[in-house]
Amino acid sequence: MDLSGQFLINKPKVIRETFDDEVVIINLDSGNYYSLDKVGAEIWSLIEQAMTTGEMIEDIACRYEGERLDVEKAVAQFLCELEQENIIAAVTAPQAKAKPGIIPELETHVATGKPHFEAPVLHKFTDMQELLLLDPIHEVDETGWPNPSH
Amino acid sequence: MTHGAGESQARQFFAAAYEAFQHAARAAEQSVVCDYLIGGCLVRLRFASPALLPLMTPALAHLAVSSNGREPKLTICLWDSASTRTSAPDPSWLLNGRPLNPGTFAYHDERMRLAFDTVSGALNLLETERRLALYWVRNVRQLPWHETGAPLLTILRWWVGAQGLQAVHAAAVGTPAGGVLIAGRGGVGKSTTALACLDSKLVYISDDHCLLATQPSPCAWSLYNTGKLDAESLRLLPHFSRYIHNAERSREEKALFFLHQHFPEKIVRGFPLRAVVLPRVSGRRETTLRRASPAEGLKALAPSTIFAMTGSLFKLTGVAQTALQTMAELMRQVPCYHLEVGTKLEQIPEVIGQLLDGDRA
Repeated sequence: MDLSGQFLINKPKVIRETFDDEVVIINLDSGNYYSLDKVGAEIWSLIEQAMTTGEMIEDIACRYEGERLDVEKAVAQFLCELEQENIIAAVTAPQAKAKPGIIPELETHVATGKPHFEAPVLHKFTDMQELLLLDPIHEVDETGWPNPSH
Repeated sequence: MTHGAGESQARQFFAAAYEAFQHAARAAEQSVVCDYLIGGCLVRLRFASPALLPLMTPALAHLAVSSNGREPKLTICLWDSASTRTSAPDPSWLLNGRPLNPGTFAYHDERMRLAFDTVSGALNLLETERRLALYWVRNVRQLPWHETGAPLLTILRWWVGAQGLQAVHAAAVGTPAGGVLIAGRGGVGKSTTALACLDSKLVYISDDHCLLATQPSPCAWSLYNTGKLDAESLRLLPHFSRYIHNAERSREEKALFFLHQHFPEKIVRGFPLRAVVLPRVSGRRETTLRRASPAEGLKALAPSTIFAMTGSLFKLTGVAQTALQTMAELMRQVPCYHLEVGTKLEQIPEVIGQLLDGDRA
């Protein structure tokens, strides 16, 4: 596992919105949409802050009660899943870190103790795929079809 | 996207298509003008001939207004080649002489959008700077049934964005003081839920498409006064059978109703939004509400809005991100509920009415 690896969100084909504790993601190319909550939503926030895999594991391990190895495996597996779904892509050049925001969960943890770690889950929905197949869109540039627009 | 000399082909095509419309209007000698208030904006439909009138106007009838000398914010020119006995606009620059593939051929730049649907044969063009749109079909008989129920949806969806509005795949019912947006993918029960409310004190904006504004505060605007039910839903609401517009095509199409013709007092132009409800069949007898998260609301509304309305270039123009942001903003502004629909459909308007009265907010 490359702990120094960073990831970028696959814009513009991937769009998303974040609520307090849940993230909704749409892949415009595939028609699939996803939701993340709990640990998954927190990891997403860390991805957006350009943290490395190692930093994400460290952050999650500090905030949750559980075996370090379980956290490492689960976070790595989750990142792999996001990559396989073309939601994120690994980057080779180090990215500047975004300024971290306040993490309310951490403040709560200090007050009440760490919650038990649960593996992050990528909830995937595929019911929109057939709509893309029913009416394919051929987008063209000024030179006409089949030259795709860029 | 290429610019400069390349861009002029699109402009030339638009100019040629507009000239074709004007020629068709002169040839037909029966031009008709109709004005509508859509999302609070005056939209003018100019028909070169009456052929498209009975297919394109019933769904908009509840929004008809007199312009009183006002300039429209958008003029849509509509014609067909068959009734006007004129030739078709020539999209050869777009197709490059190659055979047509099924689907929609789409083009866009900063000022112009085009969609040519090879299945329906409809050509939609919008030129934003001139506030001018064109709609052409070869023959009115080629128009698919869904076009009559939701006329000019492609053009209107392109255009409303600049008016601070978002076209959404949702139903809406309520009171003039406030209503609910009914969200969910196709088949989940939006139409059944909305139409079940017609026989109650609630008023109706839509069963499938409406316009959403979130600034300065959330509200829904009506687009079409149609309702649609599949065979199974019609069995649940059998009294709608007498209003079916397309009874002779009931095997191939959903039952289509022009509700303004039968319930003119119940169809309103818009109302403030107080909540979002997500219907689903519960299998139980009673209809109940259960709080849903903003993310659940967004998952119910956004994918079908973005993907179900094809031919609109959502995928590649950045419009999808804006649409998602607007819908997410709504979910932050108003509460969201699962509407667990029971077998007693008459309870649906009661439960929604109680929500709007503040009993459950």
